[in-house]
Amino acid sequence: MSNRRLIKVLLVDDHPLVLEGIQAIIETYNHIEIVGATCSARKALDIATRTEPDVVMMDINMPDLNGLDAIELFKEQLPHTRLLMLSMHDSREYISTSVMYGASGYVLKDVSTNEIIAAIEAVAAGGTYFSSGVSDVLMRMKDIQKPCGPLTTREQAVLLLVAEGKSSKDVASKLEISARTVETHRKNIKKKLGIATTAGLTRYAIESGLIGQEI
Amino acid sequence: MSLKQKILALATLPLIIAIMAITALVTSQSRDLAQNSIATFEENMLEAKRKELRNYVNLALSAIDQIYANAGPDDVVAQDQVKTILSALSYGEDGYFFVYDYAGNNLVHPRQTFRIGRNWIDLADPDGDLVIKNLIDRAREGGGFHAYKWEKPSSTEIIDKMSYSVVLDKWEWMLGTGVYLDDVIAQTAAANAELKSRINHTFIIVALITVPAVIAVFLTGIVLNLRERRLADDKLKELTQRIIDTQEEERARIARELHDGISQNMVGVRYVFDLAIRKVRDGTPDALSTMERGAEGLNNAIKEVRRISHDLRPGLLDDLGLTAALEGLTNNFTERTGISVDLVSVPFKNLLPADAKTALYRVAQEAFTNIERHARASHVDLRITSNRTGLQMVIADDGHGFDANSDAQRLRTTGSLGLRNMQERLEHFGGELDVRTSASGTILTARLPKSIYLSQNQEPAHI
Repeated sequence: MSNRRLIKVLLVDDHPLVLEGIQAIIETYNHIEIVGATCSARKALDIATRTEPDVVMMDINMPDLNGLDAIELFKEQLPHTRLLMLSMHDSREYISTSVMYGASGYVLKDVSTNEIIAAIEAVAAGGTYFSSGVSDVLMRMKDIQKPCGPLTTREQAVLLLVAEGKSSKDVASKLEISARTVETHRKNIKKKLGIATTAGLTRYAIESGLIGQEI
Repeated sequence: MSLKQKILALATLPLIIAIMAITALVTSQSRDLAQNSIATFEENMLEAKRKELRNYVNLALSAIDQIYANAGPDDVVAQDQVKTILSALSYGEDGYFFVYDYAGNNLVHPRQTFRIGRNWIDLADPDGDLVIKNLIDRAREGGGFHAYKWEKPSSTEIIDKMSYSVVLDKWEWMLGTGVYLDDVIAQTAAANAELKSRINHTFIIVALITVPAVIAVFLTGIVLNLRERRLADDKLKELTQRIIDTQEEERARIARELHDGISQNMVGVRYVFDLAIRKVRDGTPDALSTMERGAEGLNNAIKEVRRISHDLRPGLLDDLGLTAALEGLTNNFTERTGISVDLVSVPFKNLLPADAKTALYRVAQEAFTNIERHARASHVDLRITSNRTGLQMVIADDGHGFDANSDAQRLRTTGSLGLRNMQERLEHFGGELDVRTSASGTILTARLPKSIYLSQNQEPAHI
């Protein structure tokens, strides 16, 4: 046991009973330390900046800020933190969207405690983990490559600002993120939409009705 | 005033106005006509009187002609003879002759003998007419008629009278006689009265026609109104009943699923845990496996709840947006039916308000249900595009199409609200539904206007 590094875990779930239950179980494992348990993703961000957890285990359905959008914020502010989604939903769309937003794992809430621990370990070690039932869904999905991948919430926000003619620096200060992150988003947007230039992005946003020309 | 009342008023008001106008026109024309004929009648009567008067005067003149022609200007004897003859001459009840000299002195007046020998040049009738002076003037002008008021001897009433006077210029006398016009006046008044009563009569007839007509229009309007309202009420009742039925069926289904599925499941779990408790208390070694069985049972219950909840409303729609929800829908559809679906959507989200998203989702759901039930398709294309005018969702299948009328009927009888429902859902957002069907497939197009798009300028820092 002693050769294993202590894994710091932050729990985020808006159901207090679930939160308590998971916390109680995880605390029985010596190699995992709960650095925080909160019911709000925004509070989780604050706690994470202080405690720098290895793994954030988070629910998707939460009021205020949902788990998916929270992934992007965690990724922007704490790039080394790994995200493990803990959800009631077994639809592949939730899983694929979580992966697209940057989650390293996806565990259904109704799996055994052992599996949850295995997931935390795998994700903390830099791998990915998808609980049984999830992984085969994901496998089937792999071969469907969408030519026009959906944008994440953040990418959509960046697209709108860029299309309005804002520079990366403006976008960065407006979204309170680094200019480098904005550049990454821009690159991803261009790749997803298959558009090479900023002018092309603007034209795309206008023609698809995203901005301008209020009717 | 309600719209219905306004329409009713609009229908009856012109009718009433038209009838009133026609009545007024007819009445005024017939009154003019009648008044003309009354005037003619009066004139004829007066003309007859004039002729009569002239005849009487001629008669009197011929009676005294012998004496007058042979008499000298101051032949008092002849004058007395003439006075006597004229005093004795009379006709009818009130017909007599009167004679005045040019100065207005009365010489002959058989009915009012007190006038004889006195001067009446200044005598005026109740209207201020200088009767005697005027009679003398008419006579000296060569003979003429004069109308005035005079006492009728038979009744001693003051009434209208017309006289004809001539001169016996040798003696500077005026000879005249008059008739009373009360019969003319009475007949004219009778004619006028008859006219009035005829106009009243016309009015009554018009009213007898108009009132029932207006009432008929009113009643018809009200009956139509009530009928329409009853039809609308019936439709509404039918719709309400259908909604209630659907709701009840849905509730019954959920209740059944909760009771037969989850509830039984949970009871089972409880027994398992009861058993585990007993085993732990007794120190039986396999309590652990019993508890694991309990946990497994709970998991089944969780899955069951998840399935029911997803059936009721896809959380995907709220959490991940329309595209993800449609992906879920089409994946389920393909798994269930084996019909392949190509889904191409826009790469962005949060374009539509939640209720519009739900509407599109339900339209797609309805379309897929129809395809599954009726189309015998092997492939479906679902495309969502967004442009400057709005959002468009096209669902095209390669089935055998449908006959809009009979299939609509069938859809209704199978409990589905069908195309009509889809259309209404879209129309609520100012959108539209277009369905084209042929033997080689059906293309369903749902459109929503850009005006319902959410503003994308929200503060993006707090997504």
